[in-house]
Amino acid sequence: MAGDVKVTLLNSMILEKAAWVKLLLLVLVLVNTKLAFANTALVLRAPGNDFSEVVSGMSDDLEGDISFSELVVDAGTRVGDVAKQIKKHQPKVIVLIGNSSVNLYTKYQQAFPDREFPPSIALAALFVDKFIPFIKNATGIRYEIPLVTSVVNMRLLMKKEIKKVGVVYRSWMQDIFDENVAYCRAEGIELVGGKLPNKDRNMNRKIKHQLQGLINQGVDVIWLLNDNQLINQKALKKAWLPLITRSKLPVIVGIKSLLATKLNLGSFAIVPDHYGLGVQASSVLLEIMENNWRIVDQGIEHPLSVKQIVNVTILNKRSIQYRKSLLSQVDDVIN
Amino acid sequence: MHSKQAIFLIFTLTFSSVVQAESLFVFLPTQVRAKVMQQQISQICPELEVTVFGRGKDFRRQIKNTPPSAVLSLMPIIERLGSFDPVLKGAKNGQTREKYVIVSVGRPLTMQDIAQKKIGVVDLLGRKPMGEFIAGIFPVAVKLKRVTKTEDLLPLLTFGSVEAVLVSESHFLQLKAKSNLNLVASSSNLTMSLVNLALSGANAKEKLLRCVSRFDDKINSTLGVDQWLAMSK
Repeated sequence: MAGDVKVTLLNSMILEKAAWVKLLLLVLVLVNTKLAFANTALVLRAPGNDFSEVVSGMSDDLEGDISFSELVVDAGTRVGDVAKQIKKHQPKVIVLIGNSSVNLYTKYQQAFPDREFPPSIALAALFVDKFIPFIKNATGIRYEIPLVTSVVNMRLLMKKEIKKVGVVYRSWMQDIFDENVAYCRAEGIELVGGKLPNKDRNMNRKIKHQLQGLINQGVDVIWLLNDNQLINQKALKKAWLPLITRSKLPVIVGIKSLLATKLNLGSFAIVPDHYGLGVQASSVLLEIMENNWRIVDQGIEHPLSVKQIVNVTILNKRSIQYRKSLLSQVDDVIN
Repeated sequence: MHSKQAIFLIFTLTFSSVVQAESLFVFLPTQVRAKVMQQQISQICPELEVTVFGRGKDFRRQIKNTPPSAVLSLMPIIERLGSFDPVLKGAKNGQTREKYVIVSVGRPLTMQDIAQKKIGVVDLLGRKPMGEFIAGIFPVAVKLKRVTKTEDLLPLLTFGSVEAVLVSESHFLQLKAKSNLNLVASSSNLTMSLVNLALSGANAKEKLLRCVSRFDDKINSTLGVDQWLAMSK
């Protein structure tokens, strides 16, 4: 009898232990299932604070709905690294931040042409709209700030009315120029252009010629595009600086370093707000998620959020009048 | 050496707890940059530790980490925090509430026009609560396009990213002053109180009321008010 009781107890203990093991297994299965079904976004991003700010903007906004895994892309990152990350995380969507990420992911798609690619969104990369057609199942947000955003912010600050803006551009940027002409027209601003060939032995001479032409047409402001063929040390020294200094015109630039007082070139910089760019990207990601992880009628967007920087030393040096009381609306004032 | 460090640590901790200032958090959408407003309020109220937030997410995170003595914000934001009691309400031209309008380009829109369309708003509450807030106001379902700063609403209209934006009447006037687009407004049936001061307890009440009473025209104008009224219980 006592032996029976012992056996029964032993049996029940074993059964209890088995039940616990089963429960544990069930929990593990559920956890794994949840992981497998989790909405993961794989972020391929270039190194740097600006790009990590973009990720913060996205992950802050989508907390609880989409989790983010990151691969920082540097010179040593290969297509195989991307393949490994995709296999590991099984992402529902891929976010490409910076030109190096866009290039690497394009190579990844080319290396595995028969695979199904999740939707991807490219941002914080220069001229992203020129690269997106080469990526399957992709959309994006441009990095370049349209002139209209810059000039609308700037004219509020300026005492003199701004009616005409001049820009020198290369012919491959014709569509960008045309688009900006239309946006500016809606705001009552005329954008006039000095068109250059894509390549030329005497590019600096041609820049100087076109810039002088714009000044002669009586433009109120010069808009400097982020194009390394147009803005480099030689071009600055030979073409831009001599004419800009003489004309005393305000210059809108797209990079903060071009506002340096020593350089004596730019007076206003309108640059992307990287956190805001991340929040904007999160709304694109949400739309993709709501459409069952598909890109449906989502064109390439313009950046919405910007930071304004003003160099008042240069404004003062060129005797350009501005409303001091409105400097409180500017993100950064260089004195 | 170790005992000296320990004494210094105890002294520092004791001293810091004695002189720790009451804190005021400010979060509301304005054209003026947060750091500028923070400097202005801090100058007027040096006895308070003032932090002005430009982004809702930072404000909510900081409230959790180091709850302040008081907040200056809009009522829906204060209500969501839960643990703050409003004691002062801002008024402008005798009014403590302001109408909100639907701003579009070209022609005014009715509620039916915006059904299922994208509407731009400044994100005051965070993604999900903001969606719930708007769903509770609008008789039709809309898709929200949220931005972090007030000035980001104009580009939404410029690039046709949304059908319309939802802004206060005073913000509509600012948009009209800034842009040459044919901006038109229609009623949204939403009115919201202007900025309020709310406290987390009664400890620092007098100090905080004194601080707000010292606000000059410049600060009040930035906050969108010209007068402060006590809340009736």
